[in-house]
Amino acid sequence: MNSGNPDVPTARVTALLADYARSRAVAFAPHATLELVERPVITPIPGAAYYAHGLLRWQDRFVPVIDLHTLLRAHADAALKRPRYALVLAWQRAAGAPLEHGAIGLTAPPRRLEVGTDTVASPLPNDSDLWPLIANSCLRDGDHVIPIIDTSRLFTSEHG
Amino acid sequence: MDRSAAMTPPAPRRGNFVLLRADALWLLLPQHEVGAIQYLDAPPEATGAESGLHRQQLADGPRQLAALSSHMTLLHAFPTDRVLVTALVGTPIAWCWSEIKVLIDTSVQALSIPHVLHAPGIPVREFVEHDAGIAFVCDAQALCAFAVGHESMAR
Repeated sequence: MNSGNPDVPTARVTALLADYARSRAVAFAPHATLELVERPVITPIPGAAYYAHGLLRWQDRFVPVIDLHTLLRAHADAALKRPRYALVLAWQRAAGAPLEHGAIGLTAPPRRLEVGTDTVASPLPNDSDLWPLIANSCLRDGDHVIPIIDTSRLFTSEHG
Repeated sequence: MDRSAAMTPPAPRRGNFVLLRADALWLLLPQHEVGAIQYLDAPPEATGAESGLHRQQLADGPRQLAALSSHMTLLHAFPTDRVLVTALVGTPIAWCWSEIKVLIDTSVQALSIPHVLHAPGIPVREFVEHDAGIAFVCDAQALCAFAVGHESMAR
């Protein structure tokens, strides 16, 4: 850790930012993001969770697609809009366990942010009770606090 | 539930099944739960604007018809393409479909719907892939309970 020492350059890595609502973004580790599917064909599931878009055929499997904004608000719109993009994510239940997959619906492609120790921020936002369930920490991009999503917890936590 | 097995495919099942289509929704039911297919000559006389159930007068008395949306809820306006009618075992309603395919002595590979998509009362927990996409594995009781129950809650 080199914070406070101006002579040592700050180590930087790249995070992928996904806007889930206007002026609100989440970050993913690049190794957890596999593919951006444009105009995904998603099959809705009768009686599924309020934040569920449905099932997307991706490669040789079907992956669940969820709407992060709806999940974080904890209530459903009358009908979820079909997303323009699906960002396919990978996760593991435990170290050494096989990779599993899920996706979030997006209206715009994700963007990259260079992250250093000076970018790591502040506590999780308090605009949703779900943040502690799906994120560990945050980044700061200007005035914006950006939770870093734990994809395993996103797809395995009880969201009620 | 062992969630680690959420996407692990179980052994294929062999038997007789029926694929039923309502709008974009495909359902797969065991054949023994689906009655003989009838053709609906004319739309129902009375539409169930409130109940979601429609009435048809037959020679031996009236019967109730139901048509599902792609979300498995009852449609209040009877769609013109629902010309195929079947009974479903244990339900008092005649169900109307756009398309029906009977699969005899067929092996189907059912996959679990990922747990993250589940909600309390979800009527389907598995799906199969077929020529036209995904069909949800369902049973007649769950179908009826969900469709009629959803209607009761909406009123």
